[in-house]
Amino acid sequence: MTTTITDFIFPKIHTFPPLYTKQPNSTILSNQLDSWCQIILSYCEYYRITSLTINGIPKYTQLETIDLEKIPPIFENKTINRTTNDDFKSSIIHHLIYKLNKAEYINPKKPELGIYIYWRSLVEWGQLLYDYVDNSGQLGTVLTIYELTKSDENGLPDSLKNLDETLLIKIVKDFLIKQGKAQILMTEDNEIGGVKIV
Amino acid sequence: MGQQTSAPPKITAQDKAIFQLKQQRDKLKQYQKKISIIIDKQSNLAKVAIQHKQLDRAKFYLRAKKQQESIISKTYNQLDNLEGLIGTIEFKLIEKDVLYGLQQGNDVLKKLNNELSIDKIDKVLDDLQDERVKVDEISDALGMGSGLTNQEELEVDEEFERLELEVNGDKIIPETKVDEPKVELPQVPDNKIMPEAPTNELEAPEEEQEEQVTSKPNEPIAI
Repeated sequence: MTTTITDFIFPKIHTFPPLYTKQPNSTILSNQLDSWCQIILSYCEYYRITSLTINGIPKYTQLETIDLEKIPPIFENKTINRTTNDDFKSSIIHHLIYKLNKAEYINPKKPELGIYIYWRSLVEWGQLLYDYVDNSGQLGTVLTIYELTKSDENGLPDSLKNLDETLLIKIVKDFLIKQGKAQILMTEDNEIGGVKIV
Repeated sequence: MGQQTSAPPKITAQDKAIFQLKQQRDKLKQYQKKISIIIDKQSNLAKVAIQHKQLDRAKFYLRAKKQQESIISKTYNQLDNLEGLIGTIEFKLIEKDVLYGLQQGNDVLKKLNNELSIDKIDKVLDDLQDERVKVDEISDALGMGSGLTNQEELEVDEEFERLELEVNGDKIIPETKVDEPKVELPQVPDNKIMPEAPTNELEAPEEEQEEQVTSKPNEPIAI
């Protein structure tokens, strides 16, 4: 497990010490929160991270070749010796979820499970998935979740490959089923195991 | 393909069967992945054992590895079976659709043929003919064959002839008078003076111009 892509280059503001403490002035604070959210989104997009813990630690990435423990952390800058505290982190995440709608709790009833980061929106994900199934002539065919995430035999595009299964299911449930374009199949263990997209 | 809302596709029994087969296939693939990782590990361990001169241990790893390899090749056969079954079911479904399509087409064609029976067509054409005859009869009975009576028709013909005489009668006289003098006049001037003189004049300036054009580019080259 070696890192094959170069480290993410943080924007200049990431080396600006006041960024790491919650600013009292509300206008400045709002700008500060926006900056943080921007950093999180481009960081996650760069590493194809689709979920974070509520402490901002990467949970899942599509890239199999990177080791999530070795990439530079978001809320820490060792060169200026700064970190954000947990209280401020949760304000930032709150801002990302409720102000920008670019994130969501994985399970709203259990926020401690972490958040999905939507550098690509659910609608865009759904469109991507639908286009793949359409272009590969698999509309109306039953596809397993395994087939749609792990398989490397049926030309799955890189953008979809190795996607977090729970996120894939969320995309199907929250977008494709609502559009009347998909139906899910349950396994014997009563878990979602497959999907039929038409 | 359309943008229909709130009409989720139905899951048929066949879908479920294919789904189960595919699940089995996925499990096999996962199993293969697991085994191949174990094989890699064991060959590494065997290497290390040889380096440490633990020959028995190395042999044990190699034997285990061989065993896993034979398991993998068995799973490939099973995978082949499953994939084959999935393929056959999917193809049969398509065949079913084709048959259904053929039946539908056949029904429609039958219906259309029933509507187009020859007796019916003959009857319709006969009826049509009858109706036409009736229309003519009615028109005749009312004396309106073409909107005019025979007497009126004759009067129209007479007026037409009279008008034709009036119009054409005037034109015929001048045309014959003009024709005779025209024959003598044109032939004389055409032949003599015109043709030769202008062609000579025209060629001469053209040649001069060409000489000028050719001489001009020559001069700068000479300089």
